[in-house]
Amino acid sequence: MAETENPMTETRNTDGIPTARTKGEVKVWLSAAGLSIGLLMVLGLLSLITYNGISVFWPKPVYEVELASESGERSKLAGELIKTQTRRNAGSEDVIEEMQFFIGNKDAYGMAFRYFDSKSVKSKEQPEDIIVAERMEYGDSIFYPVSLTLKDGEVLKKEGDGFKRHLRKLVKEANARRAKILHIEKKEIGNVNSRIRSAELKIRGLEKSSAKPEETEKKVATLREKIANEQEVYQELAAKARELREEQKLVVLEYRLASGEVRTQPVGDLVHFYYANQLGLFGKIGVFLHHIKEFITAEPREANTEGGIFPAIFGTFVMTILMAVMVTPFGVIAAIYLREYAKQGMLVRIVRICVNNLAGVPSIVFGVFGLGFFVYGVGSFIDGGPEYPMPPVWWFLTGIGFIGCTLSAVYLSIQTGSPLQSAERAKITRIAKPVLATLGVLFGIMTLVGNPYFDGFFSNALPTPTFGTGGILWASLTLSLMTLPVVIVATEEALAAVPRGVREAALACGASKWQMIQRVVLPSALPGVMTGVILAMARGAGEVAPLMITGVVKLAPSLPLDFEAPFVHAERKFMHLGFHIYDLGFQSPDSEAAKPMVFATTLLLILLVVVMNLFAIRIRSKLQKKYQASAF
Amino acid sequence: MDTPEDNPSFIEVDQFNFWYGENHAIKNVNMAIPEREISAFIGPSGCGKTTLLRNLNRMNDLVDGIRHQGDIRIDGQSLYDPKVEVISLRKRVGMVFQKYNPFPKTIYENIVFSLRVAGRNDPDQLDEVVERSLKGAALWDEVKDKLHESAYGLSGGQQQRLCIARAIANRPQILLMDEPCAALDPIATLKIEDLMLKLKEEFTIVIVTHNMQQATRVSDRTAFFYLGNLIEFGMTKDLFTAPKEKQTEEYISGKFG
Repeated sequence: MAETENPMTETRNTDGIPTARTKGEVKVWLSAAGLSIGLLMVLGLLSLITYNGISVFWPKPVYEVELASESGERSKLAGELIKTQTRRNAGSEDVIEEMQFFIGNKDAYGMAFRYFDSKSVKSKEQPEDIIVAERMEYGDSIFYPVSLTLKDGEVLKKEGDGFKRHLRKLVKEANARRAKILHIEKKEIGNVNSRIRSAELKIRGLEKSSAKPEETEKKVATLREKIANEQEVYQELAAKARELREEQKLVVLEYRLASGEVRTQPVGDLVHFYYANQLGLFGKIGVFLHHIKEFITAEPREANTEGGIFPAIFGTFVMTILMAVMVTPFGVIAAIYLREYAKQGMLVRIVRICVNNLAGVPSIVFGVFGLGFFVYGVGSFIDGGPEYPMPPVWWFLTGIGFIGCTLSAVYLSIQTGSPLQSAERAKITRIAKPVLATLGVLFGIMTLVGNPYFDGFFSNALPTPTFGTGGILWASLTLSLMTLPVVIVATEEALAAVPRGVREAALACGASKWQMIQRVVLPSALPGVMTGVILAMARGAGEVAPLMITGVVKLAPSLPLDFEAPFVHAERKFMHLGFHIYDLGFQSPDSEAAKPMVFATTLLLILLVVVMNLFAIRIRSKLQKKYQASAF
Repeated sequence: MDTPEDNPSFIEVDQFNFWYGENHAIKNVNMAIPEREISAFIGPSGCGKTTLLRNLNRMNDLVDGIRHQGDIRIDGQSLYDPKVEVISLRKRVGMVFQKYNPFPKTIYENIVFSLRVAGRNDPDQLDEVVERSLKGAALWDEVKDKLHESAYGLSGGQQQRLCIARAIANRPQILLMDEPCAALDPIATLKIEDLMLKLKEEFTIVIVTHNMQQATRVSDRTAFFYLGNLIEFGMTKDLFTAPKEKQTEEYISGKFG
């Protein structure tokens, strides 16, 4: 902050010359202070998130502590020291120091974190052979290994040769087998299921249709046969998966907890383990990288508190891209009309104010609108056709009205520019054009919405909704509606900043207005448009409230993009990092256990937004280089 | 100077009046501008010279609340004839502006812009036009190796000559120049003036200038405007040596303006 003060002022003072300090300089200092405070807060927040988010993955040493209770009983526990803090009991002056340990073994101890009074800790040491193991269930376990019972009943003692190597190999095998099970259950059985389902839907469609009964029956019979075949395949696959699952239980690890209890655990449930107190720096880095890799690439487990968050990263990414792709054309077209074509009068001013105020509408309101309009309105229309179909005659009439109004509005628009028009006709046109256009749009909507011959694309699946429920398409559309003002405002600014001279030059070269906009104005404005899109992406990617009711779920069974035809599943529900943070932090059964994940997820969300923005900024600077130049 | 076969009244301004809203900017102007000559419009600011120039290719159509009376004819054809399309008019009347305004595109794309918007995209033809126009604007030697670089990389004088090359690319009959040297240094100005003398063999040039020396150096005829009125229009050497009107004399001798 000190640098912002003018050093010149000081030297002049010592020379005895009256200072040239103007009144404004205090305000300069004030504004610099304001900026500094703001920056400090942002930096503080970012470093807090970064520190906490990254330290989650760093392996910590494990202590074995001996505790003495007030009655003098001794007990032992082992765990990672998370933090030491002081606390004061109500009505007492004493300050109590307490330590928080991560003791894991939720299956044995009931909870994974525990606070100890520092005074009750009698001894603290780091045993060499203690293992921290990540398991499929009940979170991490911290234990001393005892022995391994192999498939053939052979027992390997931990003192024996190559126990460590053996365990490592077995865990690797178990992981491979688990991946295979997952593949069978999710991919292969999933495919069988979706084939069965589509066949069932076809049967339902045939039963509803009014085709000849004999033919229908024949078709239904073949379909049923197909389903039976698929079911056989399913049984086979299920048996295979079951077999593999049994195999996972064959090798058993016997281990002892610090408290003395001896337990057993099939090695098939272990994901990863390390000797926490034997790790050198490189070993720690290795474990650290392994944790990060798992966090980024794996699917969540245990009510999202364990495992990775890949589906959430992917969902956020796809949703943000979809949103940007949809908001850009709408925003740009609207801004072009507002700035270049609309007559700058009262109406346009009102529209502009409304657009700006739209940015201040609480995002949950957009969510409610998205739910009502996109999900229940458009979605159920796509699923099952119109709720209130019009009588055919009326429908034909509105159709004719739509075509008539639209065509005459278009005809009048073409005529408007022409000098052949008399003043009177021009006046009639001026009034008739908007009326006809509005009527055309109204009739168009009625024709579309009241179509009695449209039964929806997914009516066979009803009452199970396909598009008539939250999904990534509706969530992205809702968000693009929410971020539309940002893009419109930025584009308008960019269009207004294109110099008049260039526009006139284009017209003087014989360009029409649209050619001028398309060839000269828009390219110059493109960097500004990109700025708007970047802002919109930053705002949209971090938004949670509207998503919660338009398609985000705690756990999505499948990704919105995958290798199963038709590859893009716009109707699917998805996971989102922002919602994941909320879910972990506030909906989790063990919020203490989830806290590190909250930080890590937040860090990742910020990183994702930064990466996407950097990419957009790169595109923008390329555009700027192309259209702007060194001379200015 | 006069080439007898050229049309002596190629551009005909006939009882022309023009209003910006309530502001009567051009008052009852009559003049005949001959073909393949340079005619300069001079006068103090706000005298209507630029307004008249911008009416010659109907650039003023962009302004709201304009009104006109009387007629302007180019080669006998009225600009305000309902059958005249503004876009095709502007293809016949090129324009160079006060502040050089190349498009944010490459040098090449700047030149061929008028052809592209007219739907002419044949690459060979475009190459030929680029070379001819740049040679016509005396810029070819300086930029022939960087045709596909941004036009903004050129110096101010080069950019203005690029704008001239762009204006003549589509072979207009008339070239309007609105104070083309106002933003340039003396050397660049000299180059543009030389260029104008060369271009007049092919085009009818109308130039608006505040610089009376420039008018004497380049123009064949000069028109002096004052408060929307055309005070005097005649051969440049006559107007500057023996002005008929008192106002003209006062203006060119620097008593006002």
